[in-house]
Amino acid sequence: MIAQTPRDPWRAIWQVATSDHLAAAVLLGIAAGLIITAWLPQTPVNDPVAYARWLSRAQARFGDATPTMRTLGLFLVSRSFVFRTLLALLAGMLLLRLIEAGDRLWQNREIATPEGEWHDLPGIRLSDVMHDLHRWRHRILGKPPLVQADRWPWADMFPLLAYGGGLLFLIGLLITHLWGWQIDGLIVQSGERVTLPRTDAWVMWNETTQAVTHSPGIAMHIEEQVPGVKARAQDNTGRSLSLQQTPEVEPVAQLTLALADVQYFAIPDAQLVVRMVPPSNRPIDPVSEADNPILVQIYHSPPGRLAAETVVEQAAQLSIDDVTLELTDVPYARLTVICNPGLWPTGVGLTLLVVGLLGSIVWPVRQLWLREDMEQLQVTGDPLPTLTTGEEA
Amino acid sequence: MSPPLIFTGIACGALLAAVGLALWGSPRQVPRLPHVMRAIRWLAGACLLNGTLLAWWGDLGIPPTALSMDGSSGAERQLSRLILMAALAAPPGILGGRHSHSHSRSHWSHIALFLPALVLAGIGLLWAKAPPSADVTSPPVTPVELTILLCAGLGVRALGHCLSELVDAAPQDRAPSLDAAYALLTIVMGSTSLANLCQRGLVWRGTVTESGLAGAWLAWSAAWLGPRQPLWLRVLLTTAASISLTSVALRLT
Repeated sequence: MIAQTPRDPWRAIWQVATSDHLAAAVLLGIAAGLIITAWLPQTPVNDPVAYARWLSRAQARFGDATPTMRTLGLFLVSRSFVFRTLLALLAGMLLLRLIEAGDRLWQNREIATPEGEWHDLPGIRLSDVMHDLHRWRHRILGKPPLVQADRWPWADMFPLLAYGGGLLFLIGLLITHLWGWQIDGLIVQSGERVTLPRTDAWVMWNETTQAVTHSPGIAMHIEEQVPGVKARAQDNTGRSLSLQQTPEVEPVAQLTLALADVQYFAIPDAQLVVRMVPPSNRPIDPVSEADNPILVQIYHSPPGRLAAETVVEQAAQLSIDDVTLELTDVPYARLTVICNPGLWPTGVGLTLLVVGLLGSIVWPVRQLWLREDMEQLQVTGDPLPTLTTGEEA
Repeated sequence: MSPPLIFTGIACGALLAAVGLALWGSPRQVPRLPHVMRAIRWLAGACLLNGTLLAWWGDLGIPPTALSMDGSSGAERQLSRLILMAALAAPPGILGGRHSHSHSRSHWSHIALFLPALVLAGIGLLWAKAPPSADVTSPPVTPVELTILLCAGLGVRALGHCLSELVDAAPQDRAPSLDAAYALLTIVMGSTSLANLCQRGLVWRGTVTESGLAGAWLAWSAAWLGPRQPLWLRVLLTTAASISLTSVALRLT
C-alpha cells in the first residue's frame, strides 16, 4: 500500500492565486470591461443634464435593447461590482506575486538544486560555454563539473519592480477614488481669483499670459475659453441704469456675464430685456475670436416684442430708444480642477511598472545548470542562449 | 480605382496565390516551395507598404485621389490603417533566413503565418467599397497613433506566429514580434498615462482611445504571460489581444 503525502491546502491556494492562468483570466476580464467602456457610452453621474442627454442618445442608438443593456450593467462597467472585484483580485494577486518574487530574489543568491531532465551537448566544452555565458553577462555559480548560470540579480529584480509598481499604482487609484475630487466646467474670469466650493483651494487664470495659478495640492487645466461681456446701461442724460439678471438678485450698475450658454438680463427702468447668444456653444479659438460673434437681442418687456437684434464681436455700444447699452469684451475660461491625493503613488507605481515590464522583456529570468559527466557536457533548466533560435519566420 | 486599392489588391492576390501554391505543393513535397512563399510574402509586404504610403499621400490632401474625389475619403483613411497593419504582418522575418526552423514548417503552417495579414488586407478592400461611416473619425496620424498602429501590426504578426505553432502543434520560443508589440504598447501606455498625470493630475481622461488602449494593453499583458501556458490558451490569448488592439487602432480618435 502506498502512503500518500497529505496535500497542504494553503500551498494549493497559493499556487492557484499566483498561477498564470488566474492572472490571464483576471487581466482579460478587466480588459473586456475597459474595451466595453470604449465602445459603449457610460452613464454620467452627478449631472442630470448630461444624464438626460446620454439617455436620449443611448435610446436612439440601441433602441429596444437599451433597458436590457442597462440591466446587464453595460453602461456602468467601471462602477460595477464585478469590475471592482476583478481589480481587488488583481491587487491581491500582485501582492502574492510580489512576495513570491522577493523570496525568489533572496533564494537565488546561492546555487540551487538542478531541476528537470539533463540533455547532452555533444562537441561542446564547458570552458567555452562558461566563457560565452560570462560574455553575455550571466552569473556563474559553482565550480566544474557542476555550474549554475543565471541572470541574478537584475532578471529577478524586474518582476519585483513590475509587481510592486502595479500594486502601488492600484493603491494610488484607490486613494484617488476615495479622497480625490474633481470640478468640471468651472467658469473663471481672467484675473479673478476664485475660491472653490467647500474647500480652501483657489484658482486664477490670466488671459494675457495664458498662465494658470492655483493653491498647492490641486491640478487644473483649461477645457476651453469662452466669451464673456461686461454690460452697462445709461439713459440719454448719462444716468446709469441698473441691470438685473434674475428677480431674486439685487439690481447692479454693471453686470459681468460668461457666455458659456444663452444669458438674459433686464434693464427694469427702461423695461427692456437683453438676450445674449454665444457662438453655437463651440470652443472659442482665441486667435480668431473675431470670427465668433455674439448675437444680442433686445426685447421690450412688456409686451416681449423684439426691439433690436445685432451681432457683436468684441466691444460694442447699442442704442435703443433713450437707452445706450455698452458691452465690453471680458474673456472667461472653463476649467477642470482636480485634487488627486493619490498622484505620487500612482506616478511612482506606473514608472516602476513600466520599468519592470520593459526590463523583464529585455532581460528575462534565465537559470540553467551545466555538468560534465564522463567528458560529456549536459545541460538542464532554461535553454542556452546559443541554442535559442530567436527566429520568426 | 485608386492606387492604394490597386496595390492592396495585388498583395491580396499574391497572398492568395501563396495559399494556392501551398495547397498544390503540400502533397508533392516541392523542396523550393518555402523559398517561393517567402518571396511572395516579401512582394505582398512591399505592395501593402506602397499602398499605405499612397493612401497617406491622399489623406494629406496634396493631390486628391480619384477615390477621395467621389466622397469616400473616410474609407480610404481606414484602408491606410488596415493595410499598414497588414504590411507589418505580411513579410517574413528578417532573421528567418539565418535559421533552419522555417524550412521544417508544414505548408499549412506557412499559410497560418500570413493568414492574419491576408484577412486584414481583404477587410481593407471590402471597407474601401463600403460607404464612409459617420462615426469613424480619421484625423491626421500623430506619433502616438502611428505607434499604436505599429503595435497592432506587430500584434497581428505575433498572431500569425502563434497560429503557425498551433498548426504544427509544436510550441516554439516566444515570437519576437509579441515582445516588440508588448514593449511598444507598454511604452505608449506608460508615457501617455504619465503625461496625463503631470499635465492634468489624472492617469486617464476617460476618452474612448484611452479606455480601449488600456483594455488592449491588459489583454496583451495576459497574452505575454502565455509562454508558460498551454499552446491552445496562448493562441486564444494572443487572438483576443490582437483583435482588441486592431479594433482600438481602427477606432483611434
